[in-house]
Amino acid sequence: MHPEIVLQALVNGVLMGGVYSLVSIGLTLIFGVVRIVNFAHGEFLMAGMYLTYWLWVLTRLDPVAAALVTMPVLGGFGLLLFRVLIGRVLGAPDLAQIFLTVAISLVLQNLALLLFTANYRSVTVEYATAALRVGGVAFSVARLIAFGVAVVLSFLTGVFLTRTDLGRAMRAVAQDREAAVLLGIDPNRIYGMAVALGAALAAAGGSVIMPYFYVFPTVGASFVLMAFIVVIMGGLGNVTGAFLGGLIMGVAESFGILLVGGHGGVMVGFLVLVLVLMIRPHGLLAAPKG
Amino acid sequence: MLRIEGLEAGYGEVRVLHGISLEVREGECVALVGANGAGKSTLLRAVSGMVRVLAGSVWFEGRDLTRMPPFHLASLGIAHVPEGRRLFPEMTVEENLMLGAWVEAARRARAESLERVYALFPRLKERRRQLAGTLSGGEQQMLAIGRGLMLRPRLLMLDEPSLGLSPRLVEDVFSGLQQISVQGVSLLLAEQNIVQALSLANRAYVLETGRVVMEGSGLELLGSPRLREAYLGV
Repeated sequence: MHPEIVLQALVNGVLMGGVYSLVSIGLTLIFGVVRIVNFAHGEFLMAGMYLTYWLWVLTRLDPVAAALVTMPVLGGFGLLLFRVLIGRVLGAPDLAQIFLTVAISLVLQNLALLLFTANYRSVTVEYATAALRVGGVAFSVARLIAFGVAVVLSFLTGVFLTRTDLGRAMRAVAQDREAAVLLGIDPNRIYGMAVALGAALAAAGGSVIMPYFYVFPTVGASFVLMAFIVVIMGGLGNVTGAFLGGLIMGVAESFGILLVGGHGGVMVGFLVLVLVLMIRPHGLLAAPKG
Repeated sequence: MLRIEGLEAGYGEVRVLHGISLEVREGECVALVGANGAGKSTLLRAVSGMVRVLAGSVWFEGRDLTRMPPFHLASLGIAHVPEGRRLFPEMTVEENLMLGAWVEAARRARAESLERVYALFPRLKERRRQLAGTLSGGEQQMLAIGRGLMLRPRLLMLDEPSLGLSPRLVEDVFSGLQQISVQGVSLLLAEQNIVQALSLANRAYVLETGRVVMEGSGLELLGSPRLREAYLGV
């Protein structure tokens, strides 16, 4: 195989992986802090994509700039969802929590189907097909921008978690909820913010991929599958692990498509997950819990 | 300051406390002593709202704590250093301490409180950038107490601060508590290390199977033949 093809697959994989990282960080944050598996995470991304699409159709707002709108809107939606629904099942058995988030996912998918039909929709920005060439390898401008925004947002999330009082409180609740309560931290407030932040990050991911991706009601499903692999690979609740895992999965998928073709992407992704878990059963970065 | 009346509490169907009444006055150091399983931890956890209160009341300066969400207590000036320290293991010493000053009033004095805690436990300053989970047992206990102090509490409740520490470290921790007490912080101390606890305490309560069986000044109880026989085997 020509080395340029391999290099191109690597570049494509890393660029897509950045977006997987961003979406997965939101998912792992919600899991780590709230201890709930959010099966509706892909629908946050889907809603972010539709919102981006309609902003472009109605106002010609650039999809990447639309993230500035989709993040607060979906963040607010996440907070509302937590207050009205998710917050009520926190003490409930796992099964009830799973049913709830799966149900939210189904309702949102069908709502999108009802409102926007099953048609694939896309935006056509001027830079959609633009690419920078380095040697024989092409860097799609749209993908580069998406990757850049994803990395910056992931980094800012890390800064928020380590350098601000609120971020530290979020980590404290994730590490020992009861001890955090004894210090005066209201866990419900932190949970709501974690869900809001997770939703906002997924929405940003939805916005930045719009220049090169179709949106349809079930678009979230493929992303959330990838995000779950990433979250498990990185170590449940581990933000840095999710970031690395996202990049790894992007590359694995890209090579899967190159070597196996079509649907080989997810398959190779799972293969990599199995390999990682064989060596590190708790994920890339999670410390084994005693 | 803290007044507990007829407190009954437990886990699920199991009742652990059977009508406990006790009091901590302003500036006092009160010890709760008794064997493992006597209900000392449960009592502190009931005050903090971590255990369901089945009957009775817990008053702190005229407010009924049993009717409050648990996270509210810190803002009243109640710090609880729980059993097993319960540090945030994947955060640094300094991050743990900063979180101790989460409530608004404490946050304003955070820099000053930090210096005070470092003055009290210089080891913590040396290890400020280290993850809490990597500290030794004694250092972890100092950090747990320090984190409680960051609140600038009016009442500091400590659950087994000497557990798992070498005798020398126990001395260190208790001399730290002595200094805290002298500064005017009221202490409620649950301890199995009876001699140390009673030597420090102004007053003490002896718990047995969820009931108060003796009370008195620390020195009185330390001299009590019944207590010495039951717990010290002499």
